[in-house]
Amino acid sequence: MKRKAFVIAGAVVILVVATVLAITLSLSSSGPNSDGPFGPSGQTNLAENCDEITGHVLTYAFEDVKNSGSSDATIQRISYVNPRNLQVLQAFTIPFNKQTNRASVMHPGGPPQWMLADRTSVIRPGHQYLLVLVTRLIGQEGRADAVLVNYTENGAQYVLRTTTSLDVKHQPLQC
Amino acid sequence: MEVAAFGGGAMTAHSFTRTRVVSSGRAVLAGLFGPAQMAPEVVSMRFGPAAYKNPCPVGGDLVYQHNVGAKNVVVGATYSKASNFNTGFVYDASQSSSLGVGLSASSTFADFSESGTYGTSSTAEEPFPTYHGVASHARVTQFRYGLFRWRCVGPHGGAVWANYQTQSTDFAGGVADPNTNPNIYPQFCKQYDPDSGITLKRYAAWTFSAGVSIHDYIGINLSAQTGYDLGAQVAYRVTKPGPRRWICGLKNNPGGSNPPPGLIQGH
Repeated sequence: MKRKAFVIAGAVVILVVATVLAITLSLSSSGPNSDGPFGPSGQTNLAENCDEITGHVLTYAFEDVKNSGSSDATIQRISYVNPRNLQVLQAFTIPFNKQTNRASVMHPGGPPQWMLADRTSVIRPGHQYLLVLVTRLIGQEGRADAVLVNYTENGAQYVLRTTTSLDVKHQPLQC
Repeated sequence: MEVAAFGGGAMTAHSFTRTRVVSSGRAVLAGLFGPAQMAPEVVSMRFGPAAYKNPCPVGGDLVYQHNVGAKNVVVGATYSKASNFNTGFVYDASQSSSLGVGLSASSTFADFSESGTYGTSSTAEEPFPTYHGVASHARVTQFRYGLFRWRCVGPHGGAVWANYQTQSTDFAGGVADPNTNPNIYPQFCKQYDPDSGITLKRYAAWTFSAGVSIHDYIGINLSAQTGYDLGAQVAYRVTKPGPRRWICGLKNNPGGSNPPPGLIQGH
């Protein structure tokens, strides 16, 4: 009787350990890698962009990515981290060149036509691209902690979190 | 003084209680040594790990000798080459600075060279002036430096006095903004419209190679590095009326992290 109870207790312990291990492994392997060909994700914010706008739409074109991998990367989603009163209307990437470099960090209103013409979701190896988020401000002030980019390269899923936050104020609020 | 322990080639100290005195109707703090200084009412400090060499061949202790006074230290810099810019700087509470350590070449008080750094931080927040228009300024505060001397274990036991060492012992405070050379030529730029700008919340680590003005005492100036682990804030804002402007970093875009931008300039 005692021996049977001991065996059952042992089996229960093994089952619990196996379950915990399985959960731990599944958790640790879930989610995209935050250190991919676009570089390591930031853990904290190093800077904040602030803009006062008159309308309720702006084109945020501050962040850029460079593909340091060996094959094309494909952008799946560009979004804000923890957005408050900011709604992404449209998000895309454009190749980084002389014209792109002259783009305003926070352009009032929607994107200029030339940006829309250059849209792409494929990031070629060794090339740099600008992230563009057409954003609506809901209310008087909107904030986001950073920009998040979900992408794939060579069959693997990655995520990049940038290190610059955004603070948009509807005038007469000031930065 | 509450705690000050010396030994093992590294000093650990935790907090200093100061005597509060009044001068000209304003509260000031009197240091343990030397004249009273203008300073915030509550000042505490934390010393980082020592990153200097122990010159004793078989071990020894660093022994405090005396205070050598408050020295000017460059903790940041702001650069604007255009008329419609505001440039501001705040040395945050708990901001850490790694300040150069001076070590004499021998047991004679002479021939000092830099030998690593020592971390000192403060709980006092210091807002520096905001400048409008074309302006390039170093942002300077003061740290107290002390003279120490190594007491080395002799080859046959006993102890011998060896090299002199100067290093920061305390945050002192104070704000100064001397003009600095505006020609830094940063290449990593982003364009900002009027009524927008960027605040670097954790000012990119930058070493000002001769940032500690201690030449009068040891014949050389020492380096000063403001870390970006805690937070000195640098703010650049494009004002109205005026055209859109560039904000540029020396090592990366102004909001970059890998690497951090280093010095920032508005064009």
